[in-house]
Amino acid sequence: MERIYLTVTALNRYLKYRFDQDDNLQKILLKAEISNFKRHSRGHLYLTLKDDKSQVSAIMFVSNTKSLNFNPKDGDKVIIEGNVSVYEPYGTYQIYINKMDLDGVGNLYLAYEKLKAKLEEMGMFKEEHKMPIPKYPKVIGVVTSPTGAAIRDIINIINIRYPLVKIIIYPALVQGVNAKESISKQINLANKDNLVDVLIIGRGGGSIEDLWGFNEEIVARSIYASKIPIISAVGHETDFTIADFVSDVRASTPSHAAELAVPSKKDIYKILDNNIRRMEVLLNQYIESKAKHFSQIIENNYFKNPSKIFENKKLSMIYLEERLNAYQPRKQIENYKNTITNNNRRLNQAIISILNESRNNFIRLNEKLDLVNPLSIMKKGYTIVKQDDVIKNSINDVSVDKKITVSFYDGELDCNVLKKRVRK
Amino acid sequence: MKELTFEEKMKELEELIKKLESGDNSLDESVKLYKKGITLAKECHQELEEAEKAILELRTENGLEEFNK
Repeated sequence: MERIYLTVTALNRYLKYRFDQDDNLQKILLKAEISNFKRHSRGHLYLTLKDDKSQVSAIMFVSNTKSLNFNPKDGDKVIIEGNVSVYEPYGTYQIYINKMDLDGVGNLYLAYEKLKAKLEEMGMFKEEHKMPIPKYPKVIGVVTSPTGAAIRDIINIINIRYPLVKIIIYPALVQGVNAKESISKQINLANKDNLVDVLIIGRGGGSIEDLWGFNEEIVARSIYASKIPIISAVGHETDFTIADFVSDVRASTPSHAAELAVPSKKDIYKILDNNIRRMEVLLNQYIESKAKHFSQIIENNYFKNPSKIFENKKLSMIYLEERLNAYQPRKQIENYKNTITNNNRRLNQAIISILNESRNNFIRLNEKLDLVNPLSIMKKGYTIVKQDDVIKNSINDVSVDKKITVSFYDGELDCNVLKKRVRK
Repeated sequence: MKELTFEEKMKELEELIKKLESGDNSLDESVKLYKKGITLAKECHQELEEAEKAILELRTENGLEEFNK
């Protein structure tokens, strides 16, 4: 029988054909660890996938890398979707990766980081959205499992610290796939009821998967939308969930949440005692200050010596008078007075000189007058002749048949005219 | 008059002390404020002492039910 020899190419082609025909190899799901990770200049990823006993090479084409939500590196535990095929030129088989995610916890952590970054960018963690927790709440709501450790811790703490409140439990599934809807729904319900002053949401400790409900966007949104202040209390001190960031206050544990939600009896007693003492002090201070004020009034000089009031009045009057006296008008009046006196004096002088002059004139005139006084002329022997009481200067005016009167300086003569002789 | 809640009492006590501190009340008012303050403080004290356990309720589809853990 003649032997048929295949070429290498034919062999590899055949093998590739067989691989590609196998449905099991066309869609494989693989869990592995990355090693020999290389990024090709074109963006393709070359790597080796291994577990503790075996390894296989793999390639992820650049077109598939866009769906990656992490930066692969050696040592990463990953889950992979892809197919197995033969690379003919080298005769090797390898895995062609379609989809690659970090495995398990790694993957959850990644989703957490992604959502946290997203919500933070939306401003949902901002301080300005945080509501204050009321100091003395009347009703406290708790969204948690009614049978879990969290509610037990919360009730215990509240009974010790501040048993005046009512606690309303909004029962929720706090783990498993339905947790997120359940938690979100109960937060919304509490807001609709609007019966509580503050809402605690949370659960006791557990694995990261157990707490996962509190890392879901739907829960974050319900917390953000809540009009009731929310204290988150998920797991232990070291567990930070998305709910913690969106809530108004983060408590490290459910017990801590209860402490944050209510004041402590002890503190209130202290406040009350302080207040009572403060009031006593204040009242005493008040009375003392009033008493002091009263004694100040009693001690007042006016009370002791009422005449002081008048003395003071008198003093102020004198003072006023002095001021008035010192005031300008007085000077002005003096000035006026002086002016008047001066004027008077000048007027007097003027009048006196006028009078003197007049008198001199009068004397002189009198002397002149004396010279022409008819009496003084008549004393020298002159007489005045009147006829019918009319002085006659000429004999032509004198009638012969009538009497004439001849006046001397010391008397008159009634005479008859005997004869008229006219001087030529 | 409606019974004041614990919170309202604590608040009123604070306000009252503020008023006392201001010092501009009459003697009569001050004494009244003091008396009222002492009464309030004692009431608060008593309420806390007498309260033993918080009331527990469970929100169900039918509304609130008593809850016994």
